[in-house]
Amino acid sequence: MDQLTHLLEGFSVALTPSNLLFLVIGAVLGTAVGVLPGLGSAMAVALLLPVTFSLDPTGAFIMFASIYFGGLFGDSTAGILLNTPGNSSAIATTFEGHRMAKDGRAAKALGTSAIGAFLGGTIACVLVVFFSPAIVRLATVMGPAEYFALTVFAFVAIAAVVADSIVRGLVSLGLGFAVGMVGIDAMSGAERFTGGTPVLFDGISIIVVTVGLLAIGEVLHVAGRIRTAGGNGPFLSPKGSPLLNRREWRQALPAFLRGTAFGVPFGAIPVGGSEVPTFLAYGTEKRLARRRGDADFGTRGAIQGVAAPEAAGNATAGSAMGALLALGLPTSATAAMMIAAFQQYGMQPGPLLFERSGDLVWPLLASLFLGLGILLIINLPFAALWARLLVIPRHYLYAGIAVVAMLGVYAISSRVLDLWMALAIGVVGVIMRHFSLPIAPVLIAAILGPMAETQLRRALAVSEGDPTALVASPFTIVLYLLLAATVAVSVVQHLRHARAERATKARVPA
Amino acid sequence: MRLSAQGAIVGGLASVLLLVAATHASASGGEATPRTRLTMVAPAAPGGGWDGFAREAQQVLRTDGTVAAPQVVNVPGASGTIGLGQVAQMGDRHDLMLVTGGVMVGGIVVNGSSVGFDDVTPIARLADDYNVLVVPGDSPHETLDEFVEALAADPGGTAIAGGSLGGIDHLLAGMLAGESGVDPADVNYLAYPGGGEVVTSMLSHTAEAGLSGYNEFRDQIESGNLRALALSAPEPVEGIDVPTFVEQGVDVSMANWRGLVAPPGISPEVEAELQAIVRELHASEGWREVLARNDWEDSLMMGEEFERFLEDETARTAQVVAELGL
Amino acid sequence: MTGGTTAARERAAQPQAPRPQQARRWSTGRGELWVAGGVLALAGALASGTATMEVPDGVAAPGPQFFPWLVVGLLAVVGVALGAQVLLQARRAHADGGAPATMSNDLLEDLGAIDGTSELRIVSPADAAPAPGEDPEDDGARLDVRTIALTVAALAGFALALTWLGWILSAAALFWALARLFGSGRPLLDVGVAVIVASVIQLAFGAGLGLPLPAGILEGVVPWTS
Repeated sequence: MDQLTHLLEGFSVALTPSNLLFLVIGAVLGTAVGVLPGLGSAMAVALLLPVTFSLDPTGAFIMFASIYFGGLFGDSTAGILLNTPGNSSAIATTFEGHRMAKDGRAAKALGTSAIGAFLGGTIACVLVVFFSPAIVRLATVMGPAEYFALTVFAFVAIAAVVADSIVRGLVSLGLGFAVGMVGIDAMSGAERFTGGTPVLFDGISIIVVTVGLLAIGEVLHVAGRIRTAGGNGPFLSPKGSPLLNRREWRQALPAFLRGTAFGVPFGAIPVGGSEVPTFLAYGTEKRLARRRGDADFGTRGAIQGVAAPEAAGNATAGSAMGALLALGLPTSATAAMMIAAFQQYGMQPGPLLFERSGDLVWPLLASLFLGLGILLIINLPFAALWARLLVIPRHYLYAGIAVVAMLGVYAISSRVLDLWMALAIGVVGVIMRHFSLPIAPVLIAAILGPMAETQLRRALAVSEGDPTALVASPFTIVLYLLLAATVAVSVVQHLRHARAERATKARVPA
Repeated sequence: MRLSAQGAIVGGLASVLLLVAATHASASGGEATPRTRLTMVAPAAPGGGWDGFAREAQQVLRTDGTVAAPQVVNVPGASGTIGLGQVAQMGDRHDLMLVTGGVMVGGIVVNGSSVGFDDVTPIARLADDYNVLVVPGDSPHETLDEFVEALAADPGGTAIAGGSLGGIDHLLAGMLAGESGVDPADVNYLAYPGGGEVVTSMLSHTAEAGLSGYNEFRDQIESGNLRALALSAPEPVEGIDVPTFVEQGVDVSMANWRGLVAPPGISPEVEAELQAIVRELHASEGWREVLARNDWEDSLMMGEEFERFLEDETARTAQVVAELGL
Repeated sequence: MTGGTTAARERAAQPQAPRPQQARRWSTGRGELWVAGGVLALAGALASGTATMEVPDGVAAPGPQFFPWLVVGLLAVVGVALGAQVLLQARRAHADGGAPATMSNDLLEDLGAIDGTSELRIVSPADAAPAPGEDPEDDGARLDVRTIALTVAALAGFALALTWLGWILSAAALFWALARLFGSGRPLLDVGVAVIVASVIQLAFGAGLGLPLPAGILEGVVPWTS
């Protein structure tokens, strides 16, 4: 239990009054930036990083940890309340969360999301402290063939649950792939669909796509109804406590744990941050709800649908921290920024970090726990307060969302062109909504598509074009078998379902 | 009555805030002298290499008071050529410099960029570091010679991982192939977005060998996970216990340099002032620490010497890129 | 964009009074054909882009065109499938005689509003369970294209004006315009609120966090700053 002693020492270093103050400031700032649509946790870290530079290393790391997790706590808030998630990692939480908000249970949804974020993050951090070598090993056995298998698996598992009409789901996936292909092909250097415009060489930022489709799309969607149909349908006035009662705990706790189980392994490997595990967690809950016959899921909003993705998102963030520290491997843009920050203090994440800078690492790990704790304490009472946002007059609320969304897009790289792209994508988004084309597959395809392509081509490049390399390792074989089994089961279920439906219809005389 | 009171409060608050905010906006815009406010354009996203360099310099300039309010602006994209394009259009703006370096040379050539180093005013080259060729710790290749033999025997089966296409790693791989008697176009080069991913591709035995900055690999080399075969420096570097390519009889060397350029139309006085700022930065105690912390080699170079260096680098890179078939 | 507005205009042009069910469904079906057409057009554009792509020599297979061709194929197939489905549904609606009770579940799901899982669409309780006999797509007929167009125009105006007017003025103008469009009745008060929002963001992100927001024409107008 060497780690435990070290960690306790870390706590003793981190727990000073001034450090606690930094902790609280970081938590509030991180949450505040994370809440704004288009400004998720990555942007919170990028913007607030310089603030930490003036502090001593321990104070800086503590503030850093609370900003990092603060952004993650905050980015689902706007999604739940207004259907405009702050970041792509909050999309999955938005589905059920916003339904709960529309049902008048906004405070409950926010409370669940805060508890989920806390549990997921804490469990992941505990695992990082005690098992980081195992997490690191996971990352080193993964070659391109394994990553490709994983992306294929994620595609099927996610796409199957987020779109019920196959044709419409595929239309959306195709749009997402198209968006994801723009830019210079990293494998060969060929320009694809850039029209020779240098600003498109790096592709279309996923933030532009998310903000365009979700935030701008939502504003336009509301614009189309606010004068005729009273907008979005009435928000029910938020009531109720953010705390969960016993029955709700019984529903939510397994979902928290399932979400965490999805999140932890994904943090260690570079498969696009926390979107994949959050969607997988959401998909699992949806399947389970269908099996249970839970009528709330997809209508009034089910607590599990918020609990699992939120826990998964923060568990990913926690174990990503582990991979970052122990391997020096940035699995997301946020992690890449943090490497830069660590280096400011002469800390080089990697295999020798714990030996070389133990005096900094353990306080950092301790402050992760402290940050999560403070965030829970701050966010539970805040949940009721945030829910009051819905009391703001509708015209100010949506005008504000539009202004902040534009700020978020502009902040990516101070480019007006990004604003135009977000606007165009927002128009596409409102058209898609009008024709009931699902939005989520667009984002999934835009994130996973390029990844799948790169890994496939990389695997074939290493094997010099031999396709058997794709199924050469036990890991890939297991994944593909699992995939085949999932598909077989859902086809059987679908057939049985269809037969049952036909039977019912036959019984009802037309 | 209540309504007008509300209006008065909102109006009052609005005018106060507008005044403060407009003051800030007014001050943040407008041109200043290099000594009052110097903008450094980092042509990469926050967290990238050039961004780190710009922020290190900003920190030192501010603490030493060389520049009252140095600031960093990120203009990412297309290996830095988007930032270069913007600065090239800034005419005689005299309070701004662009961070540049070896990767941009490759970017200009590979992207067929319409602007090049002829379209800006070179100020200085400041710091270099070198790239290193590594193999996994349990690789059969113990020395550079053995690896070169394997590469010559089977270029397709000897995949080399490194940074983005046209970057220094890729150029080095091409030069190494050329020296080993292999057509550079036949190199099985795997491009990764960053050094971290190159490390994992080594650890998972995806690639036979990897190229990246020495800093990216340093800890992995010390811990024995990776074995360093050769360093890309022209001469042995103090403090780095890796023999150079040249020492081992393979004529390959290339530095990952970092430097600063200014808009094209600045007057000789402004150019002299910017050079003076760089000299003060270079002479400062803080900059020594930055160099030591990042393991950067001091490589100060200014004026015509730097201009010639840029010309040579561009020509050399263009040749290697052509050989690589990009 | 043209697909959506044209379809919606078609709909808006129709009388608001109760119409025969069939007519309404036909308009829905025809509107969706625009989507199918758009998907096919995108497939065509991607195909031409892929065919004319400049591929560097000596690129190992599968090259940079491999994946785009797959996507082109996917889009072409689903575009045709969507078109066929739309035509088929419209016909089915006729054949069924328009009584919602006889619609298949699939059809209802595809029509959208009671599909509880086409994500991120607002599914308010009212939408989710349409009253018996109510056409589930009825909402679409009430789509207010004019307000959407004006909102898009306001956002476009913001993008145009940002560098020229600077953040404070253009963001305040955007906020004010949207508040008006979204039904605020107090334009004068809105000016104050808009200025407060824009100024607070300028102070928090520009001054506080060092995000470079454009100053525009405010650049250097306050004399005591330089």
